[in-house]
Amino acid sequence: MDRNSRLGILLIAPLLLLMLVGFVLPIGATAFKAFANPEVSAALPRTTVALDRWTGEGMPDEAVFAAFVEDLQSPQDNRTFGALIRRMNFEQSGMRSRLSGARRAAPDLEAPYSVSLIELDPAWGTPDIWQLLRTHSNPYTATYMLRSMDLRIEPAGNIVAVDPNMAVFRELFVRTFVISIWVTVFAVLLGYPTAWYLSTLSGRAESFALLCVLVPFWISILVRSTAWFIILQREGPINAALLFAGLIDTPQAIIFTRSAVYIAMVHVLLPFLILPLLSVMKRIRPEYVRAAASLGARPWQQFLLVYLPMTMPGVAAGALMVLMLSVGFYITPVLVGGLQDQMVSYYIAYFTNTSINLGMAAALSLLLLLLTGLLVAVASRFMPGLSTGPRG
Amino acid sequence: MTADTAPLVVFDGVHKSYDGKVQVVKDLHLRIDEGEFLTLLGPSGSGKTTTLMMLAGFEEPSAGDIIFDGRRINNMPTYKRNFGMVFQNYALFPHMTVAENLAFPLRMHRFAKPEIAGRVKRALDMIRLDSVADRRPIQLSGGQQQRVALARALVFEPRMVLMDEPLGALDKQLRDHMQLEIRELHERLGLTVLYVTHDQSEAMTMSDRVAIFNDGLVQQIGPPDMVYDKPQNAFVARFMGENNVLSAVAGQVDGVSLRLRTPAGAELLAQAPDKLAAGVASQVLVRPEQVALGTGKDNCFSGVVADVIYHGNHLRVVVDVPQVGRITAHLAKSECHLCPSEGDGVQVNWPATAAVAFPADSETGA
Amino acid sequence: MRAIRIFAVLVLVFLVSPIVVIFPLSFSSGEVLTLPTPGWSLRWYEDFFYSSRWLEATKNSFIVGTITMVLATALGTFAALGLNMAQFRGKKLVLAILSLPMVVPVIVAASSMYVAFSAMGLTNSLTGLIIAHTIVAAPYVVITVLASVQTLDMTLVRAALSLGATPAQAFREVVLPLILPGVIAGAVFAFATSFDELVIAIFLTGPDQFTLPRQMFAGLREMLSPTIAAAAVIMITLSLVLLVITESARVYATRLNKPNRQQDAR
Repeated sequence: MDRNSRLGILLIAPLLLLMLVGFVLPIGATAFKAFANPEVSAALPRTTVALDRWTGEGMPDEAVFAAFVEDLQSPQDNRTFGALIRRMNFEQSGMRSRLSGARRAAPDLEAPYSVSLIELDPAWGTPDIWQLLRTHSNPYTATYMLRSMDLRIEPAGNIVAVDPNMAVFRELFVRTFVISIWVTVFAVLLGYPTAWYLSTLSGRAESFALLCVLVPFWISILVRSTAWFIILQREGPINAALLFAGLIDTPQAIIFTRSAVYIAMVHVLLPFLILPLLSVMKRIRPEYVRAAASLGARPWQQFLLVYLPMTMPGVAAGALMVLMLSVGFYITPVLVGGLQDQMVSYYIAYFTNTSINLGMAAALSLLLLLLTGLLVAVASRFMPGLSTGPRG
Repeated sequence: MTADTAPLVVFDGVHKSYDGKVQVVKDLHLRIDEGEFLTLLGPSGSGKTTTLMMLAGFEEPSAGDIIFDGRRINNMPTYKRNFGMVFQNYALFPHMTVAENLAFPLRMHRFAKPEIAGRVKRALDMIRLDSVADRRPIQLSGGQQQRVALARALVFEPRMVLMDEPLGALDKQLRDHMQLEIRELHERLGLTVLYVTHDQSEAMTMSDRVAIFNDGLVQQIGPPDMVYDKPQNAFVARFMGENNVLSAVAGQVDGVSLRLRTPAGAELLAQAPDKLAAGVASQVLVRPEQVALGTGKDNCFSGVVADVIYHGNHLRVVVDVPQVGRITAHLAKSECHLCPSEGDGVQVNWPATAAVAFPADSETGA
Repeated sequence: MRAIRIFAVLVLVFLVSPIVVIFPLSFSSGEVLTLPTPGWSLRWYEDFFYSSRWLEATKNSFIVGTITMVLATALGTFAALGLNMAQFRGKKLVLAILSLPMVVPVIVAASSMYVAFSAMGLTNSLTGLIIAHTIVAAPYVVITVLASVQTLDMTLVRAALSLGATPAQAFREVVLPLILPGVIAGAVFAFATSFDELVIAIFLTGPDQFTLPRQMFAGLREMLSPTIAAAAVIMITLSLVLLVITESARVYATRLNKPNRQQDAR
């Protein structure tokens, strides 16, 4: 390798290192967490060993009970045990009180534990609970990924749909996709004529019109969403104007509806469609359309057969960009949408910050990442120099 | 060109390969004397630019030595070599004014401030551009940029000036003018110039000596008239101007000339720089301006005029000669009264000294 | 045709309308954010500039934004120069890794960084936020600088060397001034990225490290006061200043290098 290459690599190294440690590694850890299942083996190490020897048929023997009680009696920090009860309660509701009760009673239990533990709580006398523990003593699990698709694995090992009242994620992904696709469609419908209009302008008019696109593009998503939040409120300017004009008698609920989400998201993402499309349209010389006209094409044929096909790469590039960005949207729906309008991002934030179920957050992250990766792969076929992205 | 002084630059058995396989320059031996204007001429990919780049220090030879003023400079960094260089697209720094561009090499060579100001002023006078000293390069015309680039390469009085197709981007009229201007500067300042071009007429106009490159090898080196009139091989003959190319088989030597026979049986007389054994398939090259209409001593044939083309200062007469082939002759405007028209029967002839014969399988090149 | 033009103008009005509407709202004298305003006043700006929470958030935003800008610009410029110089296998992969933060959904990045940074004790600290912002901002610097380095004519460097400049002098005198517009544009973009960033700030900051967007988000969820409109106008003004800076850098670069004029998309 020549001197220039060595010096070059030396210059790249600091940022690459930061990127690997601060970004690639955390995201890798997230992908890992989507399958990691350390809670049972960490909190109940002896039980894990004992359950491993059990066949899984019928009831486990005294050795398993003894190991379990010994694990409960042994001094361990509350975080490890807390993680265990949260984890088990997520698998089967009711496990929280069952495990906490057993731990509280453990110091006073006497051998044989297969009798005294069942006396304490008859649930310990059913094979199901032991099978559950045994399944999750494995350090890896598909539970989170399955749950993200509204599936669960039964103790016996077969994969089934979760109860309909718990099935939320498929609907969530469908909703995310539906919202994103409608936003993309609206953006194309509004953006294409606008980009065309901009491409026909020149001089001062062009600069001014371009400024109308660039200014919102430079203002943060939060500020623009805030603006819509204010405008669309019940007491906001829109309702005030409609009331004043006598079109409505009582203020309409616009904020916290799907319409509000569409209005704000289309507004935020429209420049991402217009700008690449405009650069494609600017490069199309008027000779092509003139040639079509001279060859006998009517105006609609000139557009449909010549102009539209030539601008399609720009439409594809812009639309994929908008679709890709809207799939990962968070702030705008949170501010102007209702609970029924939230997208995948909302639940990732919810599982990370509110319910502290990092496994679920990781699984949803992984799915969103794969979805985005798919769109990027499609996008990079249409536009090799994919460069601009979202800010904020 | 004086043999008794040591040459300024010597290429001694220099090879260059980028990938270890293809040799871009093969076993180059070349000497450049102090005060000489040497042009490297050849088609693109012939190795001439690589040779210049090695002398400038942008490339290192794979083998062999480059000696400058008695010192080996194979891997001396460019900035220590003290050569002025003029680039094809001028390479004027766009963020500096004309004056700042001219001051740049003086600053780099640590000239004193007053000295810099004086030299920049004189350089601007020399190229008659003192009125644009404070403009940026893109505000100048192509010809003005060219002159600034030239002045920038000369202002620090380098030991030698390297020029890489410096006139390539100019239109023809300006190019002709700049050729004379560069030539005049060379003579006035006694510069040593290494000039690279693919334009043979440019090489002819400006150079003391021309080195013709092809396929990584110097095909011939010498003063322009020698190279033009006495080409040593078919490539040089063809590259240095238009030719009639006639196929023939070598026969006996007759005095200073060689007798050859065309497939149709006509006999040709020509010079053979490389001795050609009897029976060797050959090509005979004749320059159109050497072909005359009418009868002559050597190589005189009858034919029919196929076409007459007016070409500004001369006429091209194309004659089909049955036993020889198609012959093009250039006639000066002054000879217009002789001019035949299409379909006329005419005689063509050329002197044996103006025809050169080479083996048919030798380099045909461009 | 005329209908399309009218439609396009309406779309442009739609694009600027929220920005235009929020200005009068922020100067309203009333407590309710609606139009028409009962009167005009600067009370909400007063509110902003007398509130320690808003001032603290503004200060934090400038601290984080400035340090992020310096770090991201330095690291990104070095990396872009390195990428331009070096030839090695896996260069495409390196470029892909360096542009990853531009394609990964910000919520995934924020959630992952939150988990990793809390393990390193970097949550609830400005340091952690600066590191995270540097990571998401640096790719934009790499892209803009790389673009300007790649349009740089390498014969200019050769010319400098042939005129006696050492490689270091050639870099300082020729390369740096010519890529400067790209570096400035990248730096401004890095600052804007940090200054506008909210999602990562939600995950990595506690109330003591609130930035301006984070404070605004908190304000929106607590009680909608017109102070938020004033804050929004302040942020819009800053964005416009940054837009003017980048556009000037772009115009300067265009004047410098004629060929750039055709390549420009915007």
